Amino acid sequence: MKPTVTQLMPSGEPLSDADFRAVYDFLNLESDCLGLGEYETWYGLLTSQICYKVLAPAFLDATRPRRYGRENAYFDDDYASLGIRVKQLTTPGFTIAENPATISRHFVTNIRAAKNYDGIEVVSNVLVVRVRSTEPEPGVVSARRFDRLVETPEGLRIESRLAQLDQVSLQQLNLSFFI
Amino acid sequence: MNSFNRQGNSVGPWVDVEAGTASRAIFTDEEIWRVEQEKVFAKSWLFLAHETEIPEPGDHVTRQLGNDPVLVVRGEDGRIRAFHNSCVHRGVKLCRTDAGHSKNFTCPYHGWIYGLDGKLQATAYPPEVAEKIGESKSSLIEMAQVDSYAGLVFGTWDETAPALDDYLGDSRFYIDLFANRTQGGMEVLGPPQRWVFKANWKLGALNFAADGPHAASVHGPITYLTLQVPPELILQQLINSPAVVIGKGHNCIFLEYPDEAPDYAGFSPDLVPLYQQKLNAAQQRFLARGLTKVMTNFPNTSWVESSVTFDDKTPPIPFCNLRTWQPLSAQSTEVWNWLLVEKEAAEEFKQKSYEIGIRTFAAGGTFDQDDAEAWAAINLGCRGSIGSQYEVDFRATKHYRDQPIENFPGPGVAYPSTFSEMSEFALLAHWQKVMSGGES
Repeated sequence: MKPTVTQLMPSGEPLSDADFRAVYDFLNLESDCLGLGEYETWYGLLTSQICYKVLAPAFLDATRPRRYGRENAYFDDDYASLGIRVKQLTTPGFTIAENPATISRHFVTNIRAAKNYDGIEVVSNVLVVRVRSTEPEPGVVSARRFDRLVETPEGLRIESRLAQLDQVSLQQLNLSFFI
Repeated sequence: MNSFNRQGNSVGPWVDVEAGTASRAIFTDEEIWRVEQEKVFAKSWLFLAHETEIPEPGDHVTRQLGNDPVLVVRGEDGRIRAFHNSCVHRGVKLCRTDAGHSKNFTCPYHGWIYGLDGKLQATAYPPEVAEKIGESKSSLIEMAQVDSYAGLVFGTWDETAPALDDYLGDSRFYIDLFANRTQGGMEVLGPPQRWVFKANWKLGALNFAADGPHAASVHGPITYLTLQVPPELILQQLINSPAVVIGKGHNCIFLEYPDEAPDYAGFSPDLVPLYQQKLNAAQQRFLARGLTKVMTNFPNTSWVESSVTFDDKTPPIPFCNLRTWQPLSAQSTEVWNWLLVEKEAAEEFKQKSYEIGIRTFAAGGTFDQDDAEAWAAINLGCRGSIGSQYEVDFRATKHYRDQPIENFPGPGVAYPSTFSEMSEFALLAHWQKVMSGGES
């Protein structure tokens, strides 16, 4: 029997090779935008309905997990608030954290995708490596991402992203970037 | 160069109140950091948790106080206790989850079991061995005192420390503005966020005590992007808003609304009558006119509240931020960051307040990201063998120190400008006193 991973996989029909290649190319384009700090281009890859969340994990007891309050989000943003973040990061006089810009790379792997009524569900892992002027030792942030892409006349666009970070205590002085 | 003698000297003085200066070494020196663990952190009341994080008996959360793990538990009797989170047998970290609910705690190494009251309930040893190791009398290392004010749970390792109410003193007047302003009180919006920056904990505490001038240069642009307030207006308000030296090391600033703004601008109209019921007239005046208030309770508990919007169609929404600066080393600090909201608030308002909170003052916050960058840069500027021999400058205090505001409506001594650096420097002056074995 073919082994399967049961947790949190995209649901829907398998993609054709050509469609999967389009998703793959899109995610590469997006990760280059993020890694190279081309945030305005990245912003153009979002739909105006974008729901963008980045969540913190927690260490909980396997048999008796207790959560309280809301989910612990680092980002819970919409199109307007992401627009303000992009403006902040791309205007030299408006940012201290990103002037000089962080040197960073986004590595996206383990891509799974399926097509359903709402669009294309994509699950991927992302590793962000950052070298900052104030923290010259490379910092690392990793996450598992759950995306919904939609097809538009301009090509694929991101309509929702949920990124589950892997660090309970971020070893980063800030999150002045996108996952 | 400075006049501070570092040679063989770990307690200072490192702060010259008269000159308005302090040694840069207080932000970088590991020996000073080690001494302040004993003189400051082992003696002070430290924020542990909000009561709403552990509402039921058996609920617990784990925390770090510096490098010490702490277990905060609500017992069967409803009482909140705090323990050093380590088994007394071999010192193993006992509870390794961030939050949970249980009837007892079992050490993962040898299976020693502790009750919610910290008492050792059982070991795997036969009775004659258990008697030798004092099984029936053993218990976890407990914080000497644990007490709450306005749902805020504090603990101290020092059994001789003054009572919490005495320790917080007049700062309770201002804490009420953040966390004790309705009958029902506040609740946490979720677990704390945690992140580490490479700089000394005092830089965060001082920044929130608070540093007025940086708010214009560091936060002016994002304030303009979010609220469309021109930087020159923010600058004028900062220059003309008060800095308050509350006493006992607690300090705050208020950024006031311009006169033409209505009272309680930015607050939910549904909640205003509740504020008016709970707060006295002087407190109401502060809440109604304050655009932003920022405070540090000595040594490392800080607050900030403001109203912001990220959408030109939505009016500003307030967020209430509470955080601690945990000193991991002289040049490394872990932030623990909570968001609070009134229990009585409508669900939609709570969600909005939460969103604004994480978009402003949090690990991914648009305001926080530039603050931390400045503190890390201070660390780089001060840590070298040459750099650490010089001073940091609070000489603006020399201009303002003889200009207290007469008849200020709140407790403490207020000065007419957040640019006075008076409240920020007062935290350092108090720190020096405590380091020298004086007031704690």
